[in-house]
Amino acid sequence: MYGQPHAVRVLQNAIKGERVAHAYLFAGPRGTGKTSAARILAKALNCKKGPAPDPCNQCEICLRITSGTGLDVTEIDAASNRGIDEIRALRENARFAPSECRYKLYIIDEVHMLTPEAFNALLKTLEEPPAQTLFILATTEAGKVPHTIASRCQRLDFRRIPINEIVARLREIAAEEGIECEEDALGMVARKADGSLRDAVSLLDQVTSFGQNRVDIEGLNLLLGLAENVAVTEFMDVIAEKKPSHALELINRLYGEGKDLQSFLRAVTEHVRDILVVITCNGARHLVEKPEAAFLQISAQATKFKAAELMHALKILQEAGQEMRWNPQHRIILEMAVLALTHPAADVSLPALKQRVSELERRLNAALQGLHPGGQAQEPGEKPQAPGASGRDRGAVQEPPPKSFSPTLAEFETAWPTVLMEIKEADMPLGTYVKDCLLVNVEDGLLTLGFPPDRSAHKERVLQMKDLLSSLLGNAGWPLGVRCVNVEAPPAPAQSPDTGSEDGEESLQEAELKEAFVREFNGEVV
Amino acid sequence: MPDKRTGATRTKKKAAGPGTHHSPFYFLMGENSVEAEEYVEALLAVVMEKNLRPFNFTVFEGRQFPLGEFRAVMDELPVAAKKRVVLIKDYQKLNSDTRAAIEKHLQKPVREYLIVIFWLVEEPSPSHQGKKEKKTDKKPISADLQKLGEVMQFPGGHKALVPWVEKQFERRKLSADREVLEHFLTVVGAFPQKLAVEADKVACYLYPNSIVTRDLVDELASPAPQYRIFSLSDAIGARDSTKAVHGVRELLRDGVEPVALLGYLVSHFRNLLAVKSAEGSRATKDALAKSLGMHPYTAERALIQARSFSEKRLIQALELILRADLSLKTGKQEPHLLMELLLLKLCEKRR
Repeated sequence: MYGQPHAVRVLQNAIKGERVAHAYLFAGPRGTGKTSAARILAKALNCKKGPAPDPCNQCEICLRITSGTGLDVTEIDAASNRGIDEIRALRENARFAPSECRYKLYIIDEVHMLTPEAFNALLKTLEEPPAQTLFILATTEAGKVPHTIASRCQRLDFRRIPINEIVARLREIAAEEGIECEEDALGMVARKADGSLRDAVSLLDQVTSFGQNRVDIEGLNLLLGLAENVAVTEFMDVIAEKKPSHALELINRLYGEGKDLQSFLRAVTEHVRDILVVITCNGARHLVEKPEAAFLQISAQATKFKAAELMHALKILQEAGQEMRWNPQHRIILEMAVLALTHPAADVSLPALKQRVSELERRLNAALQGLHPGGQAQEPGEKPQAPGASGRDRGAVQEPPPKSFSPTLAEFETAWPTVLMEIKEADMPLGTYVKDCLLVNVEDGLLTLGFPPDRSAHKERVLQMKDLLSSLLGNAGWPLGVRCVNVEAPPAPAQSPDTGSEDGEESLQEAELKEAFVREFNGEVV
Repeated sequence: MPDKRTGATRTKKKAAGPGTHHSPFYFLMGENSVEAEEYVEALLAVVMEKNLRPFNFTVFEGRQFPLGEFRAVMDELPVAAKKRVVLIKDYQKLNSDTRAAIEKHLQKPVREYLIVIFWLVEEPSPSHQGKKEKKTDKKPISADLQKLGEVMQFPGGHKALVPWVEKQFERRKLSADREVLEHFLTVVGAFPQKLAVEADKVACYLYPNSIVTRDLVDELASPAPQYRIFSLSDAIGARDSTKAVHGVRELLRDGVEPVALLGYLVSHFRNLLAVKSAEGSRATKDALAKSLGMHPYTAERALIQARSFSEKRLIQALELILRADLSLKTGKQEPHLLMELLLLKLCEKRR
């Protein structure tokens, strides 16, 4: 047994301590050793030199069980013998004492496939198990086994076998069989097997036959179709760089090579999901079921995307996948999806338009940052923003919205109590910091908050939380940028900008925004 | 309900083990089927020798009760034993006609017969929520009958099971402090049958040692879906997307249906919203739980978790779940991916 020390220890100690249960439920992914463990347990209990934790594998009983001819060890595939009649027959036979062994064992593989009636019949037997009879139920989907059955069995969870243990076993096999192996290739086989030793061994067999008793990376790439993974990575690079022509060429190439575009789309969707998980779950390795090399590639690609972009991409890809189910024009569907992903102007759905506006705001913000190295923080004494601090996500809330939204201070003051309540509800500390400030001005989409000298600490905190405040104002129906100033005395209501430079700056902002909108949407000013 | 004058004292009687004097019938109620079965085992040991059981001990299942066969058995005398024992399981599932027929026998007790009736209820597994068994009426036998026999309680539930688990551990020569016992119970779930087999597994693993630790429980015990769901709700409450995505993957891998999970999430967020709305009332935890119809433990957890959400955010979460439900039922998205994306959205720090 490889990679299941907990299960081995429980079973061996059960034999040593004479505490063998009358029913076991072996649950776990395929190829992790459930059926093998059941057979070894059968041998250990019935071995002529036993019951012993380690069967001799040489006595008549052990040999018979190994060859599958033991009279008292019955293996049933519940996937093909799933009815009540089969289980009734089993019950009838289970009543008789073992003929040649100490224990009669029934190994029911894929037990979750039994019908409800068959489960009921089995339950009766498990409730009152005949003496000297053991049931070993093996399943890959333990959740589908009824609670009444599962609770009467001692459940042992078989885990995915660690890669190093699979490699060690493959190395042993290769040495026994005289196969020439590259160490990296064994690692690749183990990773591809995804924790299943059986898959790893069978893959090794295939590669050995393919490479004429030699296992190397080149042969593996050819045999396993790992080229598809390369294509997926390449595809995502193209999407990140927004190069529709390259993406279409790639699809054309795959189509020409006779690849199944539906399965390619599935692979891309999974890849996008993995990138999203890396971004949102702080690179959680265990949530990405990919080999290390692939994970590193995914992590590298994660720097090229934003979570919102990927959510949108997933929506487009899933819709394409949905359409492929009934529409045989897979190539066209995939191309349309690619165009929607790489050429946003072609996508007129609401989320796409929202994303384009956000992107526009970001670019504008970046341009303004270039003009004013301090960014939006134009007040004296406010810290200039660090170069890397203007992340893509932050840009959207930092910039004042388009000119069309221009409430007056009086309007905003009327709504302020309600807005303040919403801010408090969303973030109590922020609500406290802005509670005592003065509403100085609302102009050109910018809310100016005044802080008296004794509230300078609050001003600092608000400056730190400016993005959040701006976003909360937006949620409350007041999409305004925020700036903070020091005030000495109660401010005069709704001051107009009084410096020439600020005037110039506002008109520049407006002109840039207008120009960017016209360029992005191919429109004209009327 | 048991008769308050006579039955109540009897129902409070915990089965300490059968004595030499026997009632004509025993009515065993509650959630702890293992303890009830052990009681029957002890009763049988007193009444007859093991080798006589095939001739004098008959079990009837409530699910498909053969009334004719039961009548025939009740006409036979014991074979070489003091008494014949008849065990009727799942009495709560019998229809009223069958119950009336059985009760006729109970009303006219015969010295040579001992009837044991099980009215034991186990909670259904959450992965089979859609296939809940038909609700049974909870009316046990009449007060008059209770006077003639013995009604015994075998309570389940977390609190009642802690000392029972301790006893199970002792029986298997295991030792664990109270905190570990409670953790074991929380992880495995309040299912006596499962607790017993899990205790067996722990004993086998440790053999010949005996000290059970919290880490060992985490490593070895097979967690109940409820425990995983609680962990998932904790992760969502803490906005821990990594734990939440991991939790949902484990649940889905274990066969929990995405629709059932969505149902659970709706009920969880509805609880949070209810608790959030009632937060201003300054009611005590217990009063709050009572007014919202929740278990105090659930209410306490909901109170803690509700602090990290605004009311608006909770409403948005419910809208997200509703949209996910629609996508799931119209087949717009692959269920596992849909669930993962939903959890990522629910765990988003700020929107």
